[in-house]
Amino acid sequence: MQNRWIKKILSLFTYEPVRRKTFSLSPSRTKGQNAILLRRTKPSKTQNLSPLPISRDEFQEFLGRKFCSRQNPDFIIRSLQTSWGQITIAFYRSLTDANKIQEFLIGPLVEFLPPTGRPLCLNDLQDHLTYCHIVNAAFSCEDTVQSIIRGMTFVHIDGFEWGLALDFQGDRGREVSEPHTETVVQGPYDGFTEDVSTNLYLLRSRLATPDFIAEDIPVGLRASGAFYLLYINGLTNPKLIREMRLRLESVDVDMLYNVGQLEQFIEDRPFSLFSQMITTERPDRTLSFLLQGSVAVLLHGSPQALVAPVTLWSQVHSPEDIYYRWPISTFARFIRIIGTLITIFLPALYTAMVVFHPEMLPTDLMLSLAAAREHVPFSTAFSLLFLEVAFDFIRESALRVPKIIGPTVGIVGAIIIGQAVVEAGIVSPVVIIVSALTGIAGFSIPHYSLVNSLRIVRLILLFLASVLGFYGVLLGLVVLVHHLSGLKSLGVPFLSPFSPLHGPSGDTFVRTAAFSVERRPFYTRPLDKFKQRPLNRPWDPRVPPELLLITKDVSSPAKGDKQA
Amino acid sequence: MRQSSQEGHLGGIEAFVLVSMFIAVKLFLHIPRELSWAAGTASWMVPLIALVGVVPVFLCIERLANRFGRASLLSIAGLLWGRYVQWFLGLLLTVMLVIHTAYQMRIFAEFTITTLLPNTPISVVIISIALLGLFLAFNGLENLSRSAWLLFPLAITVFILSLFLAGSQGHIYYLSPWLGYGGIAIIETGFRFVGLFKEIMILMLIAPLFRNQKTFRQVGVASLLFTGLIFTLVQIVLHLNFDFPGAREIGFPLYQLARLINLQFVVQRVEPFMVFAWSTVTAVGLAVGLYASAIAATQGSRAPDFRPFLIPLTLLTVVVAFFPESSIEAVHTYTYLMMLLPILFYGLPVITWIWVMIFHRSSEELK
Amino acid sequence: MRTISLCLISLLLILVTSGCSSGRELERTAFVLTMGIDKGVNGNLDLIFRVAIPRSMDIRAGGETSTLQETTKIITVNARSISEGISLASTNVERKLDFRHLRTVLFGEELARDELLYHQLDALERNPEFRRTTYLLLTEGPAREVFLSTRPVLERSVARYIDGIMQNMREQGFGTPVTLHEFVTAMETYHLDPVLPMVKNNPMVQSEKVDSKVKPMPEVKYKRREAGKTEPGGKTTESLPRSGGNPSEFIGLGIFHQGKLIDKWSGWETNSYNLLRDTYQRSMWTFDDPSGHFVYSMELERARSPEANIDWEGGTPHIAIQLSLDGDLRSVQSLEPYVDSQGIALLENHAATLIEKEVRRLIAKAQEKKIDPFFLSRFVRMHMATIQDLEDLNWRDEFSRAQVDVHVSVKIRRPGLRIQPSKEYEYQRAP
Repeated sequence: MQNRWIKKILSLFTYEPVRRKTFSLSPSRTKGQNAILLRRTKPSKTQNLSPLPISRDEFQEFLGRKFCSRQNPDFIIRSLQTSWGQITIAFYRSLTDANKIQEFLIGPLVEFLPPTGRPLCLNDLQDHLTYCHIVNAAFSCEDTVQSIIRGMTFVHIDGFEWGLALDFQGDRGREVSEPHTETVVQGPYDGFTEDVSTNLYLLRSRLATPDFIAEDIPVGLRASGAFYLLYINGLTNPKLIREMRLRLESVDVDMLYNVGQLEQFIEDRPFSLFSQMITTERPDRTLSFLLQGSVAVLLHGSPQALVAPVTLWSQVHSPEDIYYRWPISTFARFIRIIGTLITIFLPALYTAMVVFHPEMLPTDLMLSLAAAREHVPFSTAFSLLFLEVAFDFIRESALRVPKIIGPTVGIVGAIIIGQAVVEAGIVSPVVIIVSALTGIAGFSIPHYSLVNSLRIVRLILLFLASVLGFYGVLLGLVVLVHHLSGLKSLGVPFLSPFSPLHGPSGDTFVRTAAFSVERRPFYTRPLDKFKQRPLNRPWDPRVPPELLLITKDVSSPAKGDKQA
Repeated sequence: MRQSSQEGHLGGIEAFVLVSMFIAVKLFLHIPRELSWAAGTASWMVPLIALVGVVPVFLCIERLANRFGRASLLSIAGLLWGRYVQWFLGLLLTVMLVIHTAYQMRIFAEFTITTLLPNTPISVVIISIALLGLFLAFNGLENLSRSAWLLFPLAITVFILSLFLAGSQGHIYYLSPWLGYGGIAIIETGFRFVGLFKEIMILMLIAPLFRNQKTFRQVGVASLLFTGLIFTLVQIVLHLNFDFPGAREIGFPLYQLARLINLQFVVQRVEPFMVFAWSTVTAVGLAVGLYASAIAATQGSRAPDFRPFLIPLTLLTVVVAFFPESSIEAVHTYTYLMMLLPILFYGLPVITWIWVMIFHRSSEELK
Repeated sequence: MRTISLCLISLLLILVTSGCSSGRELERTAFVLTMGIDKGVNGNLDLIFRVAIPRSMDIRAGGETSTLQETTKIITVNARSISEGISLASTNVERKLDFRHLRTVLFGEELARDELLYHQLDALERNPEFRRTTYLLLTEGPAREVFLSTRPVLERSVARYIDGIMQNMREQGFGTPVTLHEFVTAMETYHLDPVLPMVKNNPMVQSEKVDSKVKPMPEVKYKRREAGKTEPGGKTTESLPRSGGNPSEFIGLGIFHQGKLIDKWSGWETNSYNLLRDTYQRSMWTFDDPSGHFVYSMELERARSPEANIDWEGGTPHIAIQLSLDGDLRSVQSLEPYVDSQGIALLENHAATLIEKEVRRLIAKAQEKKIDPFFLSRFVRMHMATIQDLEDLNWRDEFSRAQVDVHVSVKIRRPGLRIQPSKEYEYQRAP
């Protein structure tokens, strides 16, 4: 035991040649070594597969054993006797649509006439089952089991060593509905659902390009779905795709329930307070990130997409910023930045100012603050902490209680606690104002996980301020900035384009007019740098004609005139 | 020798801010008072004259770096004189940098205690700033330079604003008599104070981190000019507000200047904000000091990574910071160091350059 | 990871439990808003602290308190130095005395006359709680008397009372606000004598004070007291004839030389001082009408900073001072139609001559005492090259011998809302 401690202390002073180079998108960095994948499940291609049983009884016995059909009434094995052979159909009742099976599988099978003169082959049957679009052949037991657990209906014919897996999946889960966390006033009202194919539909129905790739990557041992790695071929930097694929393939777990869980496996700095990726449930937002050169991950069963790389600033952006005209969204962003600053610093600054540096306040204000504190027994920092905790209670309870009485909790919290706490002389009214302002300002940030991170930062700063005053706040600020500037989101510095400095993109703090933002952000290093034509307003009389000549953008109205 | 493989490259503007902050730390301590003491009303000319003295030294560093493909100066020394000389020089630089950083840390702590936290023990301030410096330096210079660049707008805005507010209530006639103690005396004082910019030597250690020679040269020149400008500006504003007999006796000149500002708005006084400016600069500057001492040790001993050196050197720095018995003693020793250290920091590159000019022929030239 | 967090947590605990915090909650602090220093018995000091009562500023309890006396309390301590006085005062105050909101320090006249004032400044400069922007005032008579008698007309907040008074000083020119910083700088500057604005107790108002309230005296009594005052208010150092209002008057200057109060100047002289020292902002000037009867008034602002040309020919320096003022006409009592190009020029010249006379009289007064509180030496030092020259200059002697020429230019820019004065056209002035 002692030995270990000494070793640990000594290890502080010794050199250990570990830590390979962190991944970075910068072209000046050399490529990191490839990690060796150690998966519990090897890709099944090289495995020796056991062939399908040929006879009907053997097959049924195999399935019954594998799926424990006796204890598992959900699993159906059905035998059919047709004119041309004995057919076994196996499926999960819960995953399939019985009507479809009856109508589109059993009907055609019964009516099927085997070719005369030669034995029945796989293609004959596949060609005949015209009502189903996914008809896969299976030759091994493993394939059979895989297809059944994924919700396919399996057809086996007595005497043949192959089977067919058909897609008769039933209900696709819930309907597409409005997003719950990222609501907007203007903009589309559809959000992702739990079903990944619906989500892909939402994306593909907007982005009409064959380059939009949804690559599937096998997920954990016991999960049914897959990751879909989304990117745009020819736009997204291949280095990025490669890195993301590597990270996804390295994940080998039983099951992932949500992309939020996946994020913890693949983010660059898992011990940071800040989330370095964005989860969004809006297809339009996902697409806008894809078109900026980021990649996204969809997971079956998760109504959110995971987007990376992103910057801190995009966590402060709201999806509807791009739908409004530029003055409005710039102002909104400005307000949000102030809100962010207030929610981080206000309690700490207030404490530092009142407890350590009362000379900063105007004398009369200081005296009335002092008067308000006359009958308060607790210190300023403690009052703020108390209110912060109370505020969190209200928030938590409002989340947990049924929707119908949710507002009641808010009212009870706000009025009863706020009012009574002051009346009882536990905190001073000014502290209530500070605390409420802090809380409200926090909610101006659209990204929910950022709000939660900042809450912790705020408490740390409050603590520092109560011990060391402004000096403490400053220490906290420097640490915070240093931490943020060291973070990377999939190899992209988290604070780009400010640090490292790169020319303004027109879409960071200030959002300039939509037509003036011609380039994609540089930090994702997209292959295609421009997202629009340099000149989108050739008809505008304010556009100098020289520009038209330089860009060789002879505008269509002019052309039209000539023809006329 | 290649620097640690983990270190990224430094961007131009980030490196400029970093080096400037490293140089400017002393500005927030007692140095403006020393300048006023030495040069009276003409103290604002001293940084400019010192600048004239420093630029040739920087050119030596730049030429050397150019000649050896931006190798660190210690590696060049190793190439010229063997590894034992390299080791010795590395040790010497490390010791000097540790002492220098420690004294800065001590005076900073004295300052904080005198002004902001009168009842806090000095150990709390010293240890907290040392931990902060360690944290900042530990992630390497790339990250540190980015943080410095992010903090720079805040610091410079507060700084310029308070200088402007303080300067606007000053009087021009306090700047006269124009030549202080006389022309010759000023030039002599100016060259005595070349140590104002001695921190530029960090460039000879971190040269390998630059992408190209042009950035390296620009960073050096720009940070020298910028800090020279800032020093001059501070002296001017100081003398606009304090006549020279008073200016040489004020405790912490910049703080006192900020305290003269009285706003009638919501925030009545601004000097705690001013503290933001100087503390960020000091925190970054001390971190660079710690990093520089560690990197000098690394390069002197040809180790591959600076990190293992960092923690023991920080400990040493804290220990040295407790050496002086009083604030006055620390201040005196620091001023003395400022006169003494340039002999090493400037002498080393100049001697190396002369040696290279006279004796060294690269293999290509020999052919 | 666990090791690091353990280390951090223990460090934080050390921070919290060591009780090293310099912070102090507001309700555990007693803020001293103004302070007075008097010469006490056996060379000690009498220190007067005015401590704010925060409860009286509570908005929810508003309306109950209305006077300064109810929002503050006065404590007087006898001690050898300011620092000692502070520590002695805390033997009876239950909160820590805090000077970070100190607005002004009042010095008693006796202290200033006995060369003790300068010796008190070091305590104010050295302690970081005192700010160099604190205003300094000199009282006529003991400072404690002013503390006891002062009754702001409207304000109940000391901070705003002092700020308002200082603002009025700047705008009316009967005083000049001097901060600790300015006073100390003036003290340290070569060839400059510092000044302090004065506070006086008006004996007439003082006699009206009944139980901490000022009750204006009856008309007959007022007429009687008023009789015998011939000079206009502010011309001499005597207090104004008035009734009601604040017993304290902020008018005039105290002039220091060699650490000692050597002279007191009146309100009018302060105006001239401001012009020369370049602390003038604006002021109301009232002159006898050129026609002989009545007076006219104009409000003059500083147009340009004063310029001086110093000629050293023939042993005696010739100082030519150029002052420029411009402003508005405020009243023409005589109803003479001055508002045309000739009339205005007449008024301007007339006013300029009178101001010149006033300024020259003040300079002569300073020359007589061999002092230069106007900092006229700044015009000399602007032409100097080295500090040695400055130290060698024997300015006060030179100045006392100097021939001073003052030239004032007055420009009336606006006549106000009326062009020529109104008059009854059939009116015939009695011959």
